[in-house]
Amino acid sequence: MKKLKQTNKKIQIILALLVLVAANMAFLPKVFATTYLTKTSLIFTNMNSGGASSLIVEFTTSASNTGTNGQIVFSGWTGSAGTGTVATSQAVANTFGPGSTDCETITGATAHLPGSPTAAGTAGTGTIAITDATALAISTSYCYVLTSAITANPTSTGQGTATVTAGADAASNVAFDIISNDQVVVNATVPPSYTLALSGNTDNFSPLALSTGSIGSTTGITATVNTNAQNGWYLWGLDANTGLKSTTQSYTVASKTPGSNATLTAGTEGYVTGLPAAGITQGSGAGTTSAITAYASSGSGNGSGLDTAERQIAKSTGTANGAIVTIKEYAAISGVTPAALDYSDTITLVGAGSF
Amino acid sequence: MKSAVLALGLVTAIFAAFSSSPSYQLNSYGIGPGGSSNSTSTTYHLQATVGEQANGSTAGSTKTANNGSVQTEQLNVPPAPTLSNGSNTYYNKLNVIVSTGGNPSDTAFAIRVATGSCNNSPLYVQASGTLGASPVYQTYSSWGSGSGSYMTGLAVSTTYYVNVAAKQGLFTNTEFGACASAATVSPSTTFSISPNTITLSNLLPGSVITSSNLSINFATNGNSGGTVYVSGANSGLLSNHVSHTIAAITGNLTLQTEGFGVQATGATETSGGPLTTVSPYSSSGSTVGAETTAPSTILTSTTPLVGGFANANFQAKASVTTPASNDYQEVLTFIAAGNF
Repeated sequence: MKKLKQTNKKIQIILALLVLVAANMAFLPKVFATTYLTKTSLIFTNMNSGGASSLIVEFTTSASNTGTNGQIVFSGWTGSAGTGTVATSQAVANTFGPGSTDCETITGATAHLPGSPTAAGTAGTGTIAITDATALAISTSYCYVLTSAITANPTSTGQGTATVTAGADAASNVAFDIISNDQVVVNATVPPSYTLALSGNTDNFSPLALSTGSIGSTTGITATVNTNAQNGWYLWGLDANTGLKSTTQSYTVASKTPGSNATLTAGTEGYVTGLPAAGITQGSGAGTTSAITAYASSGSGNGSGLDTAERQIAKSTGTANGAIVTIKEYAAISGVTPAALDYSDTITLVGAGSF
Repeated sequence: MKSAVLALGLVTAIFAAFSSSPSYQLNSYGIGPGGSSNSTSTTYHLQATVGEQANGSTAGSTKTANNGSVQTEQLNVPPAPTLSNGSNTYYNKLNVIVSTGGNPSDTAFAIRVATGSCNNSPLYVQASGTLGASPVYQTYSSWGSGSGSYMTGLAVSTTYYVNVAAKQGLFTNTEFGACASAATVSPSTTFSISPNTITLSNLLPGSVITSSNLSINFATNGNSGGTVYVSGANSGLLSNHVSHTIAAITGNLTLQTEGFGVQATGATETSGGPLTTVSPYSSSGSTVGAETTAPSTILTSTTPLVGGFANANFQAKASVTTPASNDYQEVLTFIAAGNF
């Protein structure tokens, strides 16, 4: 009986102690933690009201914090009524964005959360809990990324607060700003440009006198094209006389098969325009410059005649800076071609970009 | 009665033993109420009185009178300290400047902190600035002299009541004086940019075109300041029409045939900070920094700041072969975070 009384007394004492401890806990002032996180930062990758956002979290542990895990609690977020909603399904990563940029690069932190941390969100309390991390190191700057942390920021703009906990340190209070628009759209126009320059406006045969035993050739002129036309450019030629014309003789050495490639034969009258491959250069730019097949000259006397229609003689598939094509004329005469000193032709070259 | 005499004799014997130590010598000491109590030599200082030591006190609204002759040798009770919340910026700390109350320079002070009301379940400021259960006595100098020191780890938006006690030597600590109070504020970060659309002039080949300014406003009371980041969706000016990007680069656009970049200028603040521009966005002229798809620091402050402001501009250069189009566009995102 006496032993039972002693036992009851012990229980009463223990209960009294427990009550005292509980009372002390209840009335502890707001200041009792002795170690704190520092440099705590919550980076919303989307600060827009109502927007979905990843979170990049940074903090530095105190000199005694070797705890594990942590949590983020957004004040007043309930997952409804536009207060802010954290995703229930969370993923912890060390990188952010399509370029997988390390959060250490973004924040300047020196370490990732140790272990294999996982996270889970509770929308109703605005809480994201981090678990499965192993012991933190003291006085170390950490970062981690919650890639799909927030499904909806608060719909109202203005400041919000959250507490960030990591390991054994007391929770750190942070503030963030929800704004209406965190983006700047920069617009620009690159205006179209096209220039065509000819190396000269006279292109005589050399030698000037044509003979029946050979095919005459002009020195050639170059056409230089610069353009920022995305789809390239075209060069056309047209011939006012459709051949070499002598006014005094009222005779024309006719253009041969305009639009179709042909090769002159010495002693047989004919007149063609050709663009030798060696005379074509692209310069810089995205395109490829080439002669149109009919006018691509494989050698002396090869080409195609021009007439009064605009015949496409060269083109490019893209932009050009200093693209050059060389245009030559070839002529052959026969034994009955009337002699004259005034055979001439006027070829017009026109070009355009395809924007 | 006999035992009382014996006890007195024992005390006397102990004093006599101490007084003959080879390392110091008592100059004088007394036994009894109101006796002489200052004894010093080059190696010691003794304040002692044996006798009346009643602890009763009489308190009024403006004073407290304690009984006992030792009371007459106590230091001045320090008046209320000076508290500051940094012009309403401190959210987890307060600055406290001890008021010495005219006490000697070797006086040590303890700082007591309470919430709810003065002396309510108090804690004490530790040497590190954190709060603990035991008082820490330090000199006025150790508490930061006229600049004071910070009591840290405080709760946000909470009023703290702070008072100070003093002591000199081992036995003369005063009671804690009158309380001063100050409140922490909430953590704060504000950020805005304007405008949200900027159109560059026509990008004529070979010319560096600079946009009008983007205004950036940033303020935070984060202990470690805060940071403004920039990122871009396309890492340059993208034309969907011609499938070409004038790529973002870091460098002098004058020396490039084509490029796009960001430059931050004119960082200022009303107070705190300073807010500074960060490389590679901090150059002048036609030297710009590349933006990427990940946030990159463009402005930063390592301390709290009020009224932070900066401009940013966007520069681009097209080459002769930059495909012509009127839909070149980059969507830049500016975000900011306080560092608490």
